[in-house]
This record gives sequence, structure tokens and C-alpha cells, in this order.
Amino acid sequence: MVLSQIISLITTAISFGTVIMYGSLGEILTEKSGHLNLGVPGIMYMGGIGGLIGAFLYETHTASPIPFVGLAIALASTLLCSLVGGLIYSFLTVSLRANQNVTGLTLTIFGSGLANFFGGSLSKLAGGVGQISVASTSSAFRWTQHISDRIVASLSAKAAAGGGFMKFLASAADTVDRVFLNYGFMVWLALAIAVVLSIFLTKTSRGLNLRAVGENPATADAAGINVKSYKYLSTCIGAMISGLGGLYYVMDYIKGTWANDGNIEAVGWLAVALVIFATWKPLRSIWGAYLFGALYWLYNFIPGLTRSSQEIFKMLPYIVTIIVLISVSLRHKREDQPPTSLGLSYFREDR
Amino acid sequence: MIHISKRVDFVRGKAAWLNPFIGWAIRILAVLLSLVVSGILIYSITKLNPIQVYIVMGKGVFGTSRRIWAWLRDLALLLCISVGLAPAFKMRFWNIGAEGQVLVGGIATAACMIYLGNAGIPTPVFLIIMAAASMLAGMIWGVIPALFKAKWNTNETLFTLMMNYIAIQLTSFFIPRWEHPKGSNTVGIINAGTKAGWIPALLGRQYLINILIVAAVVILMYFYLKKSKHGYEIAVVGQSENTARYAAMNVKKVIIRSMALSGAICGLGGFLAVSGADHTISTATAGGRGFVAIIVAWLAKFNTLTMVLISAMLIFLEKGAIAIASEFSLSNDVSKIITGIILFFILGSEFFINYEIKISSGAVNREAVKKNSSDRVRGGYWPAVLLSLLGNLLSGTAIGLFVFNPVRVGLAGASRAVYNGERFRPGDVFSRFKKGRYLHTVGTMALVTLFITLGLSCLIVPGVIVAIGLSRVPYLLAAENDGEKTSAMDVLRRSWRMMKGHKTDHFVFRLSFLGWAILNFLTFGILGLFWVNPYFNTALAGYHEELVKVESQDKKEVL
Amino acid sequence: MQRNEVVTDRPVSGAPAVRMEHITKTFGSVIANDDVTLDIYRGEILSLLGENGSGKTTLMNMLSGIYFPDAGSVSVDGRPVSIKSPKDAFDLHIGMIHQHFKLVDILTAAENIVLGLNESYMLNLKRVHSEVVNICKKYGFELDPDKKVYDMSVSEKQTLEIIKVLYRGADILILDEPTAVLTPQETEKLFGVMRNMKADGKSIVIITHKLHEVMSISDRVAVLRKGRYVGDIATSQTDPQQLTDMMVGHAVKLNIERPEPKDLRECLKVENLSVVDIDGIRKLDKVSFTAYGGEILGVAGVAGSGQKELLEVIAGLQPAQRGSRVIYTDRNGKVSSLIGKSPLEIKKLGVHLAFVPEDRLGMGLVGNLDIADNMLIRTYTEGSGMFVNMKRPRKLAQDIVKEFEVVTPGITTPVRKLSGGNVQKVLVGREISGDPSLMMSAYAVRGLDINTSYTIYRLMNEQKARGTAVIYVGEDLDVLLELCDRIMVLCGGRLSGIVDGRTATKEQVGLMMTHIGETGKEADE
Repeated sequence: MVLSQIISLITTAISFGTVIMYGSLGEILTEKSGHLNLGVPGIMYMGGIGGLIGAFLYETHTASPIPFVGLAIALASTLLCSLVGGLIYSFLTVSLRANQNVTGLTLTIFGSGLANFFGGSLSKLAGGVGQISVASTSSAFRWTQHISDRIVASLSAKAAAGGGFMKFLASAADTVDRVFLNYGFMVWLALAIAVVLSIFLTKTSRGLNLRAVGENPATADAAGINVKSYKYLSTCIGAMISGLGGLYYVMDYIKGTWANDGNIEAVGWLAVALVIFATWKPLRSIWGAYLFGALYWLYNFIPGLTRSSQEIFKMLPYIVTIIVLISVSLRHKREDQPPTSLGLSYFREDR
Repeated sequence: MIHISKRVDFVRGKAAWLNPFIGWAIRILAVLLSLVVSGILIYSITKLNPIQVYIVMGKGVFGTSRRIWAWLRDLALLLCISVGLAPAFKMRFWNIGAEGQVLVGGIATAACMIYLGNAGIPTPVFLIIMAAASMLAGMIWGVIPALFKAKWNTNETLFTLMMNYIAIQLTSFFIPRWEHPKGSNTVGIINAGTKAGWIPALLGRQYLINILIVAAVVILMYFYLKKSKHGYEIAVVGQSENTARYAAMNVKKVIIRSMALSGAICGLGGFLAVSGADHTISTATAGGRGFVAIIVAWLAKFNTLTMVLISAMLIFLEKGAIAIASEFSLSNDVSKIITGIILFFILGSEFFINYEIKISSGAVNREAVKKNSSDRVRGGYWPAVLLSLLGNLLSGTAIGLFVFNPVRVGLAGASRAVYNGERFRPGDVFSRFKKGRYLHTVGTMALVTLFITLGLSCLIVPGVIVAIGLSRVPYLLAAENDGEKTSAMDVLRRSWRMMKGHKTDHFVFRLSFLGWAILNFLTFGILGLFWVNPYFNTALAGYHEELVKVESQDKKEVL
Repeated sequence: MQRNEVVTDRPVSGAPAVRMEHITKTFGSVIANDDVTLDIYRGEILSLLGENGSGKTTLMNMLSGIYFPDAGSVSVDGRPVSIKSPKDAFDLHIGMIHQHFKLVDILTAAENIVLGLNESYMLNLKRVHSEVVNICKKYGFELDPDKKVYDMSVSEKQTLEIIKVLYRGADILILDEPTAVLTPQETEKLFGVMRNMKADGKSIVIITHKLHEVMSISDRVAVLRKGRYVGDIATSQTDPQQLTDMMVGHAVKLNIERPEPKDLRECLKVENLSVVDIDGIRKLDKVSFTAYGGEILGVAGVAGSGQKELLEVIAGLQPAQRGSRVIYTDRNGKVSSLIGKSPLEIKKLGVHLAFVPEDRLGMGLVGNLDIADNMLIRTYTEGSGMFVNMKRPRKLAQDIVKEFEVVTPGITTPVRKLSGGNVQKVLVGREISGDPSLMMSAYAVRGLDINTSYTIYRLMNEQKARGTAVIYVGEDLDVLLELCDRIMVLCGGRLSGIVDGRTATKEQVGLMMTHIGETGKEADE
């Protein structure tokens, strides 16, 4: 009984956490360049609806849609829509030097309006609220699950024929599968992105340049680094990564439909919080995301909670983040601080 | 090279009083532009006439008295929060936590309404108690991040942001305790029967008290920031901490005090929302207004009176969009989209107000040429005007190849004389109509027209490039001595060589007269007749003169 | 050797590594470099010597690509070149180590060195590491490539900047006031390294005004004065006296009024004042002096000798080391200790202190507020009640504008829009209006036109006549010698001595500024 609950918590934590992870990985990249993009929720909205529209149009206009083509189309439209969001933000804050907080918040308002508008329209087209279903494409996202399911199934079949040990192996494999492998491919993709991002930041020349841009743009400029293009690239690529979170949410987490429930926005803010919690390190963001996911849903698994007290549990990710924020400012460990020029526009006076 | 530098003023000296107006003109232009873009968006998505849509918006907000009051009520709420942010932002303390501060103020108000609703407290007293409770709650919510910032320089943007979500969860915590009916997970209208704790109507108007309260807050805050000692400290701390220390100000105290005030007023906003509008509490009580207020406060540059205008506009948009939604069966989210676009444009326009762009000249110094031309024309005014009149008039109306072009060349040559301060006569436009010159002129210019036309037919841009490259031809022709045997193609080739590397610069040079061209257009050509045409012609000739000088210098260096 | 005879010497044969010819550079109305011609040879250490404002750094910034000459030409190894950006300078193997380091704190030394080079996709810090070790071995540096910059001392950061430049293959190195931030021991280490680099055939230019270092390290000395090139001479053929003469030139008669001080009253007594800044550098070392009401006490010294810290300690803006004492006696005889008190506490004590800081718009005034609002800075707490009384500040603003002829569109214009001279008039006017008994100013006439400068001198004299103790920190020796009754000279944070303003000579003060101790004793070296 208890084991299955723990397994359930872990799986929920990982599934939900992945949405947060995408948002925070993208924002880590952006913030490393010195820009605080409070438009992450908006971009995740735009990415989610973009992918959904792409898949929806494909599925409704093709007689027998091929799941993987749907997946590719959804991916492409998500990246495109998030890129647009990222470009709006970066053009305003990098070239026109607008205030980053205000621009980000506007983008969130804009993005959520855009997404819910199209989501609502799509719902209407599909015949009512919550009726959209791009099940075919959505199922494509879970191909990794299908593979692992099949492996486990064949193992079980063999086990049924074998002795006690085989049965034990089979049930162990089944548990392992449920806990660790039963996820859509985007969960694995998120991990891959986190690892790649970490390597990029710590072990490549361009990653080093980016870190310099976020810490001290004047010094980076003097070293011959093109500060503007680094800011643009990292903000736009960061937006695209965050947008993937929206896609994952739509296609895998809620299995290919749309609901105007504001969940994506809540997750978006959790992602911003996670960036701080992870002290701007992508690898920390991995377990941080799962931790946040667990904390967020923990209340479901603790018996005896009233509807009221369970809300206190949902506070935990934010409280934990505040604690990290305070301790970071107390301990002054340089490596854990936000990038020094975060939130400031860079302006090089004419020589 | 494009140089961007911080703008000091739009205009200096006597006309300096125009500066703030120019700034506002740019912002208004941005809003108009954004409305156009939104209109296009609306049309492309819904195929509706945007003007009709905007009219519906207007009616939706101002159509009936009831609607106007609803607009005023929501305006008051947004304004209250924005004004609350003013002291914090003016101090450069980025209070992103207004949303949470409003919410806890609302929780405090709702608690009073629920637990004290039956205590029989007279309404005015009750209102004061609730207002005080909500302000206290907001104050606490705002002071916590301030303490950490003052003591340990903890990042306030992120801290206040997190406090928002804790506030939302706090609200969700209370809802099941207060839910009515049981099990619905909503609090429902509190004290619907007794209306205990509701802000009552005044003079028959339901929301008059709300508006009066906020009006008082706005005025008080204005005086607080502008005229009080605290306000002065806020201004100095926000501008320069060094100066604040030099002035013996206690910076920590100022930070904490201002955030306490900021949180308190936002909390008051929660009171207005719960007691004066919704009469319930839910996680949507703040409804994102805390974030919108940040935008309002920042755009208004923390000036309380400007905030009134901007809040009015935003609430207008919100309500209008809801009207559109119901009228045309669109979703409410349209308002967010339009609001977003308008805000993007306003944010972008700030760049043009705060910075100026200078495109530096290439080989030929634009500023010098223009100044010289303008001096010359002013020096020998009437002949120059007459020259341009004849030249532009005739070349515009005459029969293409045979009269237009030779007149143009004549004008070119005479304009050079104007630029150099040499003698000229308006009649010089006809200088090419002499034997020996005429055919050569006509032939060469015909060739130029041919090439340009060919270029234009290849998607315009090549045509423009060709035109710029061959722009020296009239001047070269005008400068030719009689009896020189140069073929038409040689003249064209020479022009092309001269313009090598200078085409963009020349394009920019011509473009820099756009302002004059627009003014000329607006005055139906009269300004052109009396100033722009002679000035422009002379400047073009001046460009040629300077280019020739640069070219001969280059040749010297190569040798 | 005759004084002021310009001698040009060539210590090594061959064409110069760098030749700058007829270089002129102006900023607005200020001529920073006026027709300067300078040669730099391979395998030599050249000192570029001059007072503040002589144009040394500007000249070298044109070699490092930060500025571009308005006139004149630069050639490297005989070839004319055009250095338009730092990258061009690097391509020509020229590297400059600036006074303000351009390092990213959170990165290691190796990472800072390789920043922006993009040699390969993946960071090859091992290669950087071994290359750095090679460079260190070759020239005698000591640097841990894996150390984080925020852990480094100032001297290590400077070493890092030098290695950064060497890593990029610099043959011509320019160091801007490198020893300003070093202890004597660290300076010796640096000099050892410089000699090694010179032996390797590199050219090194050291911008400095420390004469004893010039004598100790350089082969040749080039002197600039007020933007002009005075001359250069082999170090072996000159001495500090001659160099000082070249640097400061003849005394210039300014005709500043200097009334005799009367009714001197002890106002400020400073004992054993020591200040250490956040980087751990000793800025002031056991300085003791007394300032009297009714006289002008000048403070002379090369920039960074501790003048800023001195004034800030007295104003309560800078903490001091234990053992320091600052005792203030007001006109009524009341005695207070100012050490360790914040400006607020000093104000509460009733001390009437006027302080015109060096950073006018960054500290003394708020740029975005108008003149009237800036008048409030000292006095805004006056009056009971919540509200600020704008009547007096507004009147004060109008009076100042009228009396000092401040050029401004109106008193509601933000002060940052005023020109430098007018900003200073506003600032000084405000400080004087508080009827102070102690008036301190730092570089009050820097960047001001002649008329405004004379206005300031007049104001100082008026204060002196009223019995105020005036402490005047200045950089123009001519002014100090004509305005001040006594002049205290700071050098490297220590008090070199106090001389009589009427009898001291420019050469004497100049020497005290660049030598430690009048007796010619080299300090700690």
C-alpha cells in the first residue's frame, strides 16, 4: 500500500516536475546573460498552444494522421511560437533597453491571453470545452513508454512460464519500469537538455563568454565579445526551451487537450522560483524540479489532511525558494549568487 | 556606423519647453500605431471590421451609466494598487509582490466580514476596522522582504515574487474554512443577506465610496511623495545611495518604512476588492491586477497623476474587450492580447524618447554639406528660388526625354554654382540647349533612364541601386567642357566608379531630407517652393562637390 | 646639465617599436594631447611621467584602441597603422593594463585569460594552465591559474592582467600607474618581472608619477606637461630634481588674493589617522595635523594619496582604524570627537560641517532633482511636521543662481543638465549657505573655467575671513601656492610635511609629493 503510494508520488513528481524543469532550464540560460524574463509563463503558454494548434490542424486535415509526423509538426510549431515570444522580449530589452520586469510581465499577460484565446477557439471548433483531443499525436509523445512497456510485458510473459525467481525479477522490472521508465520521451529530453546546458555553461568557450556577459558586460565587451548577440541568442534559445515545457504539458501531461485553467501560468512561476532554488545551475535544476513536483503534490499523499490544510503544503516550493534566497544572500558564496548584471540593461557609451 | 547615445533633450534653447510634449507625442503615436496593429490582428483572426470593434468597445465601457460606474470602480482598484507601488518603485525597490499584498488585505477583510459580521458593529466603524486590518496585513507582507533587503541585500524582485504565491496558497487555505455552501470550495457572497461589511452606497451610487477613498489615497500619496520629508528621502535614496549617505539619511529605515507603506496601500486595495466590489474572496481576487499595476506605475514614471490616466486606459481596454467578447462571441482573452500589444509599443517607444540615433556620415560630411547649402540659399535667396522653380517645374512637366533631362542637367550645374557661391543665373537651367551639347545630354540621360527602368523592373531594389550609382551623371555632364569627346557610356561608367562605396551614404543623405519632404507635402508644395526645393537642390550639388574633393584626395594618396 | 634642457636620447639602436607623431586629441574644449611625438623602442622600459591631467593615460589609450587621435599618426615597426579598437591593438601585439581592472570576479584566472578568445569550442583549460605556467616561469610571475578572481589580492589581479596580455602575444606592454595599488614588496616583485620581460626584448611603458620608481626601473623617461611633450632623457643621465622641474615647470603667477589670516582658532585636530579600504590597502597611515579657523589649509598630493579618505573620515562617511582621533572644536569652544560617527550623528552633535566632494553629481547632488530640491540635502529635516518647507530652499536657490551667475534655464531644471561649472557653483553655494565652521572641498575647481575658478577662490577667502577652517584639496600646485596659508602634502597615505604657503616653492612641494619625507629618505625600500 505504502510502496505504491511512494511510487505514485515519485512518478507524479517526475512528470509534473518536468514541466517546471523546461521552464527553468530556459530561464537559467536567459538569466545567465543578465536578463530576467518574467515572461516565462507567457512563453510556456505560447509554446503549448503553438504545438497544440500545429498538431490539431494536422490531425483534422489528414485522413489518417501519422503520429510521428504530428509530433514533428507540434515540435516545430512550439519552437516557432516560443521563438516569437523570445524575440519580442529580447528586441525590447536588448535593443530598445526597455525595463525587463515590465516587459516580461507584459509578455506573460499577452502570452496567456493569446493562448487561452486560441485554446478557447479550438475548443469551440472541436465541439465544446475540453473536447480537443489530439490523441494520435499525443500518444506519439509516449513512444518511450511503449517501448519500455513492451519490454516489461515480454519479461512478464517469460516470467509467467518460469519459477519464483523469474517472477520476482518480473515484478521488480515492473516496479522499475513504473518508477523510472514510464515516461514520455520529453522527460528524457529534458534531462538531456539539462546535461547539455550544464556542459555548455561550464566547459565550452562560448559558455564562458556567456557567463562573463551576465556577470560584467563591460568586461566582456572589452574582451571583444559581442554582448548584444549573446544576449539575443541566449534569451531566444532560452525561450524555446521554456516553450517546450508548454508542449510537454499539453501533449503528455494532460494528454493532448486544452483547458483554460491557468495551470501553465502557475507552473511558469514555479519555474522562475526553481531557477533561484537551483542557484542558476542546470544540474541542480533536475532534482530541484522533481523536488518541487513532489512538494506540490505531496498533499495528495498525506492522509488526514483537510482540504484546507493541504493548501499549506502547496506553499512549500515557494517557501523553500525563499529560504534558499535568504541563505544565498547571507552566505555570500559567490558561485551561488545571481549573475551580477541580472536585470540591468547594458549600454556602452560612445568611446 | 550607427551610434546610439543617451538623449539629453529633443530641442534646446528657446524651444526647450517643447520637450515634455514631444515625449508625450511619441507615446501617443506609439499607442495609435499599436491600435493599428491590433486592428490588423483582429481583422485577420476574426474578419471583423476593426473600427466597428473599437466602437463596440467604447459603447461597452461608456454605453450606460451602470457600465461607467463599473469602469470607475475597477479603475479605482487598479489605481489604488499602482499608487501603492509608487513609494517603493521611486526608491528603486522592485515590489513585484503587489498581487500578494492585495490578497492578504482581502483575506483580512473577508475574515472581518465573516467573524465580525454579526457583532452588530455600526457600518462606518466596521469599515474602518476592515480597512485597518487589510492595511496591516499588506504592511506585514511588504515589510518582510524589505527587512531582508535592508539587512542582507536579499534580492527583492525574487523575494516579493515568491510571496505572491504563498499568499495565493494562504487564500486557498482559508477558502474551505469559509466556504458557503459547504463543499463547494468557494466562499460565495459573504453576508449576502445582511450586507454586513459591504461598502455601502453613498448618494445612491454603489461605488462612490470606493472612488472617494482612492481619490483621497492618490492625493495624499502625491503630497507625501512630493512635499514631505519622507518623500524627499525616498527620492534621494532611489536616485543615489551615495548622496543619501552623504545627506545623513538612514537608508535602511527608509527602505523598510516605504515598503510598509507600499504594502499597506496594496492591502487597502484588497479591502476595496472584497468589501467594495466582489464581496467574496478567492484566489482570483487580485486577478493579476498586482502585475498590471506594476506596469502602470512604471509607465507613469511613478507620477501619481499620470497613473490615473494610464489606469483609466487599461481598464477601458479590459472592459471594452469583454464587451467585444460578448458582442462578437469572442473570448475575453482578446483584451489581454490587445493590452499586451499596446504595452509593447509603449515600452518600445521609451527607447526613442530616452536615446537618440545618429548615423555617422561616410566620406562626405552630411552636416557640413547641409549647413553650407542652407547658408548659400539664404545668402542668395531669390535667384536660388527662381532657379529651383524653373528647374523643378519645367523638368516635372516637360516632355520627358527631350526637355526634362536637359533641364535637369542644367539645374544640376547651376546648383553647384550656388553651393560654391559662384555666380549663376536662373536662366542657366537652359544651358544644355545649345548646339553640341544638346544631343549628348539627351543621349546620355536617356541611357540612364533605360538602366534605371531595367533595374526597377527587377523587383525595384536593383533599380534604386542603379539610380544611386548613376546619380553623378547630371553633374558630370554639366561640368563637361564643350568639345570634349566622351561617350555616353563613359559618363555612366565614371559616375558608377565615383559612387562605389558611397551608395549607402548617399541614400542616407537623401533620406535625411524626409522630414522636409513630409512638411512640404503637408503644405501642398508651398514650403517646397520657398525653401525645400532650393535647399535640397543645393545640398545635392554640395554632396557632389564634396565627393569630388574626397575622390581627388584618394587618388593623391594612391599615388 | 642645464635645467629644462630637452634632451632626446636613444638607448638602443634601431627603429622604434612604436612611433607616435604629432598626436592631438581633444575632448570638447579640453586639449588632452597637443602635438605629441613619442618613440618607444624594443627592449626598453620607458617611464611616462607627468602630473594629473598631463595627458599620459589619454596618449596611451590611443595605442590601446580606446581613443582615436584627432590628428597625427601612429606607426608600429615603421609601418603606419590605424588602431580603432582594442582588437586592433591586440593584433599589433600591443597590450595595456589599465588602472581599473577588467576582470570577471566569479571566474578563475585561467578563465579570465581565455575569455573572448574562442580558440576552440570546448574550453581547454589545461592548455591555458600550462601556457600560464610557462609564462610565469619565463618572467618570474606567481599566479595560480585556478584561483578565483574574487579571492585575489590587488597585486595578484594586476599580475593576471599582465599575463592576460602576454598570453595574447603582446610585445609592447603599457602599464597605467601599476604601483598605485601595490605594497613596496609587491612593487619590487613587479619590477623584477618587468626586467625579465625587457630582457626578452619586450617594450614596456610605465605611466607613473612616482619619481623613485622611475629612477629605479626605467631606462628612459618621457615627460608630459599639460598635454604637451616636454622631452625625454635617459634615466642614468638625470635626477629627481631635474625630472620634477620638467614635470611642473616654472611657477605660474595667478594673482589669487591671499589675505593674512587673523584670529586663528583651533578647529580640527587629527591624530594618528589611519584608514584601510575594503581591499585591505592602507590608504592613510598615522596622519596628524591641525586645521585652524581663519586659515586655508591646502592638501597637496598625487591623486590617490589618501585625500579622498581623509575628507570622508572627517565627514563620517568612512570608518577609520583604531587609534585614530578626530577632534572638533566649534566656535563656542564645545569639543566633540568625530571618529566613528555617521553623518547623521555628526549632524545631531550640532557640528556645522561643509563638504564639497569630488564626485559632484554622484554624491554631493542628486542629478535628477532641481536646484531647489538639492538645496534641501543638508537641511530637509528642519522644521517640525511632516512636510518640507520649500520656501527657504527656493529662496536659497534663487540667491545662488543670482549671486554666482549660474547659467540655467530655470530653477526647476534638473541639475544634471547644467554644465560642470554651474553644477559646482550650486554645490559650493549650498555648502557655504549653512554657515559652516569647517569647510572641506575636494578638487573644487577641476574642470572649471577660469571665471568660475576665481569665484571659488573668492568664496574660500570669504569663508576664511569669517573664521571658518577651510581645508582645500587641490591638484594644481600653482593654485595651492597662491591660495593657501599652509599646505600639507600627502604621499602614499603618509604626511610628507606641512609647509608655509607663502614661502614654499613649487619644486619643494613637488618633491614632497613624489618623495617620501623631505629628507630624501626612500620609504621602506
